[in-house]
Order: sequence, then C-alpha cells, then structure tokens
Amino acid sequence: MTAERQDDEILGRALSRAIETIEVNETPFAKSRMATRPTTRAIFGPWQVVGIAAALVVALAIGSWLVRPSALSPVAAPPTASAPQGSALLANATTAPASAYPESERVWVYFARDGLPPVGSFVRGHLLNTSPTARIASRIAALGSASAAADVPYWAANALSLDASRGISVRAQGDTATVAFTSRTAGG
Amino acid sequence: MIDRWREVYEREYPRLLRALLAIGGDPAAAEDAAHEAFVKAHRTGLDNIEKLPAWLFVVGTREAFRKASRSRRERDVWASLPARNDGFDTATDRADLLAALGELPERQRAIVVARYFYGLSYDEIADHFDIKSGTVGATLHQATLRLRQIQLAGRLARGAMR
Repeated sequence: MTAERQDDEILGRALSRAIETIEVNETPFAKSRMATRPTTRAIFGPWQVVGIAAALVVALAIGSWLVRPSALSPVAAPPTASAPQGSALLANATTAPASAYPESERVWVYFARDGLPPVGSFVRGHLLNTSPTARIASRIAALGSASAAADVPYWAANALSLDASRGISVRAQGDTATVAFTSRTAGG
Repeated sequence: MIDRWREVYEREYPRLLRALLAIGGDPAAAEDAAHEAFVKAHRTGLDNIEKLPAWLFVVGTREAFRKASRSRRERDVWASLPARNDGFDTATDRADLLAALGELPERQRAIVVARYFYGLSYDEIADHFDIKSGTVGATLHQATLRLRQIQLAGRLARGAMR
C-alpha cells in the first residue's frame, strides 16, 4: 500500500469514527414507519399493473378489430330495418313493411341477393311457433311455396322451390338445426 | 418474523441514519430516507436481499438524494452537526472532518461514506452506484484530497484566531 493510499485509509477511519459519534434520534422499532405502516406487499408492482393494463388495451383493440362490421360480409338485416321491396321503403325502414296477407297468414323469411345482404319479406304461410323446429320448418315451407312474382322482393331470388307437402324434417340439437327436405329443383 | 425485523432494525437503523446524516446533513431528511429504506426492505423481503446493510445504505442514499433540497439550509445544518464531547481537540477534529465532508459534492460524500463507514469494496460501490470500479478509486482519491485541504484550512483558521 502506498503512503498516499495509507493516508487515505487513515483519514477514512477517522471519518468513520466521526460519523459514528454523530448523535441521532433513534426511533424505536415500535414507532418506526416499517412497524406502523401497513406493509402488506402488493400482489402486482406498479410496472406490472401498467403492463397488464396495456395488454388489456391491446387485447380490446384486437378484439374490436376482429369483430368490426365489414362492408364485404353480408349480414342478415333485422326485420324492422330491412326493406322488402325497392328503395322507396328504405326511408321508412323502422316500420314493418306492408303485406298483402293478414298477420295470421304470413311468415317473415329472407331471400338471397347477388352480392348484397339477404333481404326479408313476408310471404304467405302459417308460422308454427310452438317450438324452434316447428318454427324453422314452417319458415322453410313458406319460403319454398313463395311465388316469384308476388312474394320475392326486387333483385332477390328464391333458389328454393319445394313442395311443402313432401315433408320437411328439422332436428335441433343445441344451437345447431339440421334440416332435411326434398326440393323439386334440386332433383330429389 | 417481526422479531427478525426488530433485530435487523435495531442493528442497522442507527448506522444507516448516521451515514445518511453524514451524506445529507439534514437530520429530518436522513431519518425519512432511513425509514423509507426499511419500508422498502420490508416489502422486498429479507430473503430476497443479499447483503442487507449495503442494500439499506444504497436505497437510503437514493431516497436521500431524491428528496434532498439543494438549498442553503443544508449547509446551515452541517455547521451545527453535533459531536460527542470526548475531549476538545478530538471533538474539534471530528467536527472539522464532518464539516469537510459536507463540503464535498453529494455523490462523493455517498461514496466516501460507503467506503469508510460501511466498508464496502470498490466493486460493491461500483455495482451499487452503477459506476466503474476505477471511477470509485478516482472519486475516493479526489474526495480525501479535498477533505484534507478543507480540514487543513479549518485548522489554520482556528490557529489564526487563537
């Protein structure tokens, strides 16, 4: 050890002794902040909380992006918002469209349109609302018997033309319904 | 567990408080920083802390640095630092040394106290203060040189007044 380094150490020790002689107010443990403050350790630190919050925001953003309404994907319009025929009825979209059939003899069904969302319309028929399977069967029967001229909306097409009397079987299991029917145009 | 903390507190608190007082010069700020260091240690858990005395010192020093106001008040407190009355010359020398320490820049003070009062190695100081080991040596050398100069100036001034 050089003389200078030794001098430094001697000075350091003197300084240490000087610090040791400082009189301090020694707070007893019982009155210390550690003993008096509730020191339950947080499950998450501040940075973890920030991280979790950021992850939630990102997840919500991704979720909302994934479920965003797309202009390209056709969706079924609700009955009250759809226009059964032409653009003239669009102005009054919230009211149910007028029908030539009395309420007990009409069924609301949807028709496909090329490149556009399906469109709903009343067609002649009897809606059996006793069970989901009866409701589905009665709608298909009504759709199959819809006459092109009278019931099918403008620009829509009814690909289904069936003899309702030839039997429609509907089987519902949970959220899935299996429908079996015979169509004239389908060739059996 | 509470007994373990009590034991740690009773052993380390006075030392930490003196160190922080030597570094900062303000008894209230030193006490505040020391308590905060213990609260943080308690939250962290004894089992998660390696070399608790050094850990407390570094955390306490950071707290003191963070809270210290760089006002004139600090220097005024330094001038009134008490020393144990164990002989006129010795007490004067100690008071001189403490006053000289107060003249150093804050960071130098912390490194001097870490080295000479806490006995931390150069590498430990470098690690805790996030500096190079060589910088610790250079800082300590500058600090002790400056301490000697200040102490000498104090002695000369006292001699001239006699």
